[in-house]
Order: sequence, then C-alpha cells, then structure tokens
Amino acid sequence: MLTRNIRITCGAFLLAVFAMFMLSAFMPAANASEAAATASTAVPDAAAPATKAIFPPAPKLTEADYPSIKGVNARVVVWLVAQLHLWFGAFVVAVPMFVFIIEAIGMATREQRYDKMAYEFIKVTITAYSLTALLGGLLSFCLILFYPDLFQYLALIFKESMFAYALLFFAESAVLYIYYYGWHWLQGGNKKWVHLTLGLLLNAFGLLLMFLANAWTTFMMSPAALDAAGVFNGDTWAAIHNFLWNPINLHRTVANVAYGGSIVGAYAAFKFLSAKNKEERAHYDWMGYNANFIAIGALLPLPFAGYYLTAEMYAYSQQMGITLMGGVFAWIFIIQAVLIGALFLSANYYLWCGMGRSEGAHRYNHWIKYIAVVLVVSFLVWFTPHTLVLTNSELKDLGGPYHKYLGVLGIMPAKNTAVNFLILFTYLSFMFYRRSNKFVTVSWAKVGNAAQVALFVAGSINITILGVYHGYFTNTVIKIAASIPQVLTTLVIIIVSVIIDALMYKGAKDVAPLRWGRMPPRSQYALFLLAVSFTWLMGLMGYVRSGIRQHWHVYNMFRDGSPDAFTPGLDYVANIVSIGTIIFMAMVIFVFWLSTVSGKHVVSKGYWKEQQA
Amino acid sequence: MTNFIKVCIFSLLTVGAFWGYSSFGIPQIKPAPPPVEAKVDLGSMTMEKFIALGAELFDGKGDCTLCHNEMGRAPMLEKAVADAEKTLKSPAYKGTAKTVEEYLYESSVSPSVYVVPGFGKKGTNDTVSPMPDATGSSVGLTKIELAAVIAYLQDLSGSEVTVQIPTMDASAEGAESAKSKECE
Repeated sequence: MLTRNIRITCGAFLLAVFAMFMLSAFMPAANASEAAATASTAVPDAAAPATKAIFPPAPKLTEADYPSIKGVNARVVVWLVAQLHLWFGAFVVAVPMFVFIIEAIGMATREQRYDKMAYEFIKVTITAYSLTALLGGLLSFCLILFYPDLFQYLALIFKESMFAYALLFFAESAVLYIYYYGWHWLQGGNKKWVHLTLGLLLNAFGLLLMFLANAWTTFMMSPAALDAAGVFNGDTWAAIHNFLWNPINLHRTVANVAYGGSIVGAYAAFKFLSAKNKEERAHYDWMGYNANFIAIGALLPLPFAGYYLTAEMYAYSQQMGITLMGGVFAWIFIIQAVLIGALFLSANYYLWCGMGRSEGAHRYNHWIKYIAVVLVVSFLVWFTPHTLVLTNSELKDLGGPYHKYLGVLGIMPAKNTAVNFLILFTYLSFMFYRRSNKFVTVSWAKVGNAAQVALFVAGSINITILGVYHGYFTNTVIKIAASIPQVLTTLVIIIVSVIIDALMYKGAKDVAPLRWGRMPPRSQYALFLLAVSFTWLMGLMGYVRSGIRQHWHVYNMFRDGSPDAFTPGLDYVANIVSIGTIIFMAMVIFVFWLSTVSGKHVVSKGYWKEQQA
Repeated sequence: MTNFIKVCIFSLLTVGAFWGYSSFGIPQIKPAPPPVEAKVDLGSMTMEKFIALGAELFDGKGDCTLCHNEMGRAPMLEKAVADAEKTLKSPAYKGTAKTVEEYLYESSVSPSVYVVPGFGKKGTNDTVSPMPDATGSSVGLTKIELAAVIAYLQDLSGSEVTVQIPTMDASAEGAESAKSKECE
C-alpha cells in the first residue's frame, strides 16, 4: 500500500510538472513579451514602439454607433447571455478539478465507489459543456451585433489570445470527450494513469481558457498599456497581465469550485429524492455529502479571496474602490451578506442533518443549537447596513444616521468579525460531523480536546477584541487593518485543529457503520438552497464586477455611448439576476433530467423485426 | 414527477425570496445618468455662479467627496487655503507653487508632489498620493472646471477668491456638466 501511494504521489507530481510546461507552451506570446511585461502591467504609458502604430485610439461613440433591433434591449440580452455562459463555464471548469482529485483518491484507495462518483460528476458536465459552448457562441454574436466597435477594439488588442482561445477550446473538447468516453476503456494499470493524465490536461486547458477570458474582462476594468487617448502600446502579455487579472483569476478559481460543488450537490439531491431503492438513496446521499464538502471547503477561503480582490481594486483605483463599497453599489453588499448567510446556514443545516447517519451523533447534538445561535448572530451583524434610511423624525430620535452602538456593526471590522465566526463555526460543525461516528482511542484524547477548546476560545476572543477595537476605537483609514490578523487567527485555529484532530483520531474506531441514505428529504432542499443561492449570488456579483465600470466600456478610457450606459437601480438588477437564475436553473434541471434519461433502457416489445420473428 | 415539481417550486420560491428582498427590503437607490456634454456659458458667468459650479463639481463629477469627507480617508478641505499657506512655508514642501491658487492646482493635477502626512498610499511613506489627477480620464475635469473647483475651495475657506473666470470659449474645450454621479 505504501509503495503504491508513493508511486501515485510521485506520478501526480510528474503530471503536475508536465502540465505546467503545457500551460507555458500554450500561453500566447509569452516568450516574446517577457521584457515588456515588467514595464507595462499597470502603467498606461509603457510603450513598445514597434507595435504602437497599428492600434487605433479608443473610439468616441454616440448612440447611433450601436446597432439595434426593434423590441430587443441589447444590454439585457448581452447581460443575460454573458451571465448564463459564465454560470455554465464556471461549472464545467470546476467539476473536472474535483473529478480529477476524486479519481486520484479512488486510485490511491482502490475503492471503486470514488471512481463511479467521479464518472457520474463528469457525465453531468458533458451536456453542460455543450451548453457553455453554445452560449459562448451566442455571446460572441451578440457582442459583434450590438457592440461592434467595442468588440473590434478589444479584438485588435487581444487578437493573439482570442485565436489561442479558439484553438484551446478545440483541445479542451478533444480531451474532455476522450476523458469521458474513455473512462471505462482506460481502466487499471497504466491505462488508469493515462486517464488521470487526461484529467490533468483537461484541467490545465479549462483553467487556461478561463484565465484568457478573465484577461479580457479585467482589461475592461483595469486597462494596461494604454496611453491617454486609449491607444494600446503594449503587447498581448501586457494586456493580459493587467492589474486585476490575478486577483480575479484567484477569486474565480476558488468560487468556481464552490459553485461546481453546489451544482453537483443539487444533482445528487435531485437523484436522492427520485431514488427508487435504498442502494440508490445511499449512493446519492454519499454523493451529496461529498458535493457539500467540496462546496463548503471552497466556500471557507472564498471571503478571503474576495477581500484580496477588493483590496486590489482599491489599490488600482481608490475612486473605483470607494464607488464599489461606499457608493451606489454599497447596498449590494448587504444583499450579498444575506445570500452568503443563506449559503452558510444551508451548508451547516445539511451537515447537522447528516449527523443522523451516525449512531454516535447524540454526543454532539446538544452543541448544534449554540452553533446555530453564533451563525445567526454573525449573519445579522453581516447584513446590518451602515447607513440607515430614515424619516426626519426617526433621524432626530436617533441623533443622526448611525446608531451610537449598533452603527458600528455596519462597517468592516464588525463584518470581518462576523465572517470569521461564520467560517470558524462552520468548520466546528464539520468537525463534530466527522467525530460523530468515531470513538477516539489515543491516551491523550482529553489533552487534545482541551487544547482544541483553548484554541477556539482564545482565537474567538482575539477575533472579537480585534473587531471591537478597530470598530469602536480607531479611525476609518485603519479600520480595515483588523482583517488580516483576524483571518490569520481563523486560519491558525482551523489548521492547528485539523492537525490535532487528525492525530487524535488516527486509528479511531467507528461507532457503527454510517447509514448512508438515512437523511430526511428536507435536508436535500438545503442542497438546492445552496445551489440557487450560489447562482443568484454569482449573478449579482457578476453585475457588480461589470457595473463598477459605470459608463465606461474600458474604464476611464473608452466611454460607453449607448442608450444603456446608465447604472441601473437595484430593483432592475434584481429582476435581471432573477430571470437569469430561473433560466439557468431550468437548464440545469434539464441537464439533470437528461442524465436520468440517458440511463434508461426501454424494451419495445414487437417493434423491431427481430423481435417479431 | 412530484419531486421534479417540488424542486422547481422550491427553486422558484428561493429566487422569489431573493428578488423580493432586493426589490422591497432595502432602499432603492436611483443612480443618476452618466454626465453629458454641456456648454458652459462663460459670457454670462459671474463669480458667484462660477463658485456654485465649483461646488457642484466638488460634490458631483469631481468625486472629491468620495475621499474628502469626515471618514478620514483624505484631508478635509474646509480650511484648504489656511492649510495650503502652512504647507507652502513648510521645508518639507518641494513643489513649484508660489501661491495658494497654484498649490491647489498642483495638488489637483499632481497630487504626489506633496502628500499631506498620514494620507499617502500604504507602504510609500507618504511619497505617493492615492488621489488621481483631477484632469485625468478617471475624473476628467476640464481646466475651466478645475478653476471653478479651486474658486469654490477658496470661497469655502472664507478667503479671497483669486481665481479669474476664464474668458476662452468653454465649448471648444468640451466642458461637461457638473451633474452628480449619484443621488439617493
């Protein structure tokens, strides 16, 4: 077993090295641009004279420059199609990541159930992949049709990467189809290694495609290598490697995994609810548990990736950052808090229900109500707005727009504190879940538990003190300073606790076999809530990312002259995001249904000649 | 089929809840339309009108109040003139301005020439200002508009307004109206 695990680890390492080489080989114009890259990232005037002459300045457009079709709102169409493409794209980029890991786990443990689950996940992806491609094509047509000047401007700057994108898409499709259709063919021995390598390549192509597309959108937010007239004077790498590219890459990668987990969780829930027998229910319960685990696992670091992205936005343009968090977009973050609160609550609720699978869960059940209280209080703090909308008399009674004590809950130190507690206590839920079916056997269990309690208590006090101090006793400029020590505290608690738990429960005995399938149907709706909330949240934050440019196609360089250049109100945004979510969920349920239909075999008696004979 | 319908209804209810909360549960802010090209009639411009234009630009197109407010992100400007006089006398000041008006102009177009202590970009030891060039594309004030803002700041400080109303044809410069970018 040890030798095999070492072989698998070494093999995975070699595959990773191989994939890194493949990535650099496909990176457009990477070699030619290295010299320019250092000079031209975020500096508009970093010149590369050889290419300067071929790029036109940013056009100054009027309404007449935007083609229209009677009865069609161009912005809404592009908005919806882009968002649908992004939802499906996020899903198909994310699923192969954890399919690869699950397949590798199956290889390492030689438990076939992992292989079967990985296959089922990728099966759902196949139809979604086609829909992603169709929506991508539709988006391109819509952009060419409704925003031709913008498309031309960007296509000239990104021509190399767009061409590379198209080629990579073929490569990804080929690998995906071989990976999926060859699943049962490439089994055992070296063949399985070949299959795993294909999985790695699929991920490399998928991520590279996403990174390229991210470059186009982030260029519109933080353009690089442009002079004051909007003339591009850099090379492909300079345009790609713009200021917000890496923060978006990181944020989207983590978010996609969480999102992919939530969607396959919904798939498992759908199949669980439709299961015809105990075995099926057990299988899809197990699948749902793993999907929820993936979603939560990626959800926990997501707020930190979000803070990093926002901090980088501030660093790029303080004006953009303040408009985002303190201007017209500020209320969106209150909605975001509600949505993320729904994510955390549904994920925790599912875990608590899941403790019913174990006979030993009663030892931890009484703690759940306290965890629930902490989660709800944190949730309430997170969605407390800073500025209250009040009548004059209310304003007079309150003595100003902010409450003397509670007003502080509306600003970042309180929200950072709340999100750290949400993360910590979600981890605690997971830890109880893991422990619920185990009997610890090590002699130092009491010491280990005491150390973990001490860690949680000390960490919680530290997070609270940091939040209260920065919330009530510092000025605005350094209020955000609490976030890094708070995050570090949370990470230390989780990492140290995981290590202690892993050592303490090594060789632990099971209370009884886990009863997969012993889950109430309502628990499956928690998985649906997770998927729908994630979808709505992504739609909303997608709008923010794009809307923060306000009336600019390319921020501060290329003005949007269309009749739809205005920033819409929140009710309008809510309408579009809701419509998009409903369309997406309908398409996803269609994909789920297709995967069910594909497994059905109907024997039509007397229809074929052979049968008549 | 029952489960299929239940799942659909549950999903719709969830979406409906988020939609309802966003549409009715929180204040609806109506963002103002983007600034439009407009002509500033300098022929009939009085100093009062010019200062009023500066005030509008200060709160609106200039985005000045995004940072210059009581939140402490940037220095308050109610005493901009007195502060500028002090700075001009300070040995730490290395700029080229000789008068308050010149200093205010320099601070607007080249904010990093002198950064008020404590307000520089993090990690730069107050050598780089986070403020953009007010005439650059992110703010995009014209020279006439910037002059109006400086006149407003001088007036706000209770000092004599030294800025002269420009005489050139503003339309040639493509001055934009000072409509605010956001209103609640």
